Amino acid sequence: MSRHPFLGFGLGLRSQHYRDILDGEPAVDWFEVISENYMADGGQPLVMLERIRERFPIVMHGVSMSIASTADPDLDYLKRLRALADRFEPAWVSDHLCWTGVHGVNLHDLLPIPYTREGLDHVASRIHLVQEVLGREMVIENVSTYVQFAESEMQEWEFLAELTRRTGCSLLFDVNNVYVSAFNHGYDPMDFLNGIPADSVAQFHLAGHSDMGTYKIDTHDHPVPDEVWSLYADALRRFGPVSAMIERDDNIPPLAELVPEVERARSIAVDVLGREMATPERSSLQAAE
Amino acid sequence: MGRFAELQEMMQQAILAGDSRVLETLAPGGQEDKAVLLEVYRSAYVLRLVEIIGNDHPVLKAYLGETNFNGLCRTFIKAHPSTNRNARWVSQGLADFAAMTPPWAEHAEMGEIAWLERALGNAFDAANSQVVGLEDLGSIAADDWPSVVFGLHPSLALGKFTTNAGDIWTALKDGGEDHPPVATLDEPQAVAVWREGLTSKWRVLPPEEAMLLRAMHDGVPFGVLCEMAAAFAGGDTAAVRTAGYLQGWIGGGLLAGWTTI
Repeated sequence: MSRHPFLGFGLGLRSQHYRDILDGEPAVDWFEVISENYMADGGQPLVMLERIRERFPIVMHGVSMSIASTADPDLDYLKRLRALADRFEPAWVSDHLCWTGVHGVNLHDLLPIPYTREGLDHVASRIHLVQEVLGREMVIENVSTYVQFAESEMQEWEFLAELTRRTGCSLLFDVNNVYVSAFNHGYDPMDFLNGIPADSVAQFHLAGHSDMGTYKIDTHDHPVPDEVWSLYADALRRFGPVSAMIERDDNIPPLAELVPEVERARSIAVDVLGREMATPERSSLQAAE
Repeated sequence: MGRFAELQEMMQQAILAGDSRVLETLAPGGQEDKAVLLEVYRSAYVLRLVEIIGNDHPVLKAYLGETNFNGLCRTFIKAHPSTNRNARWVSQGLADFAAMTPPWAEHAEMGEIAWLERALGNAFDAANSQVVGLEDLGSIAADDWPSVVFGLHPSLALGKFTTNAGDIWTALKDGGEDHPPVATLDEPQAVAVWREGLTSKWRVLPPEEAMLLRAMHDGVPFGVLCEMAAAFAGGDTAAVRTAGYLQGWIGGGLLAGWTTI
């Protein structure tokens, strides 16, 4: 069982949906916000986030911490991230097990790492630093990968499991990313699922991808496909009630088209766990005072 | 440098410069050749940045057309790899690049449209500030007016057009397909971009207003602004004209506080 609050069934907050969220009563328990979109000095984004936070719990999800990068840590970025988290009080703060650039360049992509002991030492030390600066536990997400390094000394799930043990960080289990990476690298996604500590998973991501025939790309621009729903059900069986959300990053449809996907995530959880266990804790649904 | 850092260096060079050394360090792919899989990262890098720039510059993209816009973006990205963590800054240097780099530099309207779109984007989430209302001015003592220095909203950016880039932007901004032919202006126009409330705005400034706004931006007190207006277009109505501009700036949410020197 997850040691984290069960927020229920959420959605990635996108600016196209601000108006419908604020004017309506969407059947969404919580929202995940992209941290960088709100690391601004003022204007509309922060005003909208304030209004949404008054009504919904949020979690913060970053895309550019670059926690595995061998470049020097960016303390200014981390301090701004902390200021945002202190202001909006998310249930947790997450980012990816990846790097986005070195030598001052940012490639704006979630790039793969070799799963080596050297890499483990490096990433664990960075997570310790980040947790110190942020003053809170980090939640680390597995990314979709298309290549693997021949020098890897362990599997991705072994690397993640060891990170949680060494640093106390938690995991954001992206069901689609596990599915995509398992296909691309020819392993059984159940090995991944069974290989990480059951109590370390704080959150699930559910998304779609593009099928290129001989490989799959994590485009997050399609509805969640059946294979990912199926793996989500397996994840529920292993991890129990975990806050789950629909993540759509591109080709973003109206809110009314995404809410049924949120409802499907809820419905599958009810089927797997039973209605009582699939009902979020009332206390975790309290919005900001 | 440790091996972990070395592999990141090689991967980055593969993405930025097509250096294939990293291929030797990759394991065979599941069902696809590893070179094809590495190419996923290389092509995604360019496509993603072109998409980000397109989102920030929809009018420039419409004006140039998909192919020419992609060409500009790809050349820009190669010359100026992103150095900021936040993707919203990727196109920060695009206007200057288009204005100074052939063949785009021969078409000044391109750089000017790029500047306008970037400035509107910057104003969108620039810092907030309490703006001055007309009623607030009542608290300034008559004797103090000459030494009042007004502050400007932090979102304000001042630029200039040498072409009818503003008319082209207006014609294309909401998905329009037709725009006026490019024309070079007889005299360059000053342009102000700022945020009023939550909405980014821009307008052309008449020469006298542009001069005064720039002076205000530099911290010039109100009394000197009136003297500048008098020298610019005659003293009889200078105070009235300056007060008129002030009223317009207040109405547009451009003034943010004042100090007395």
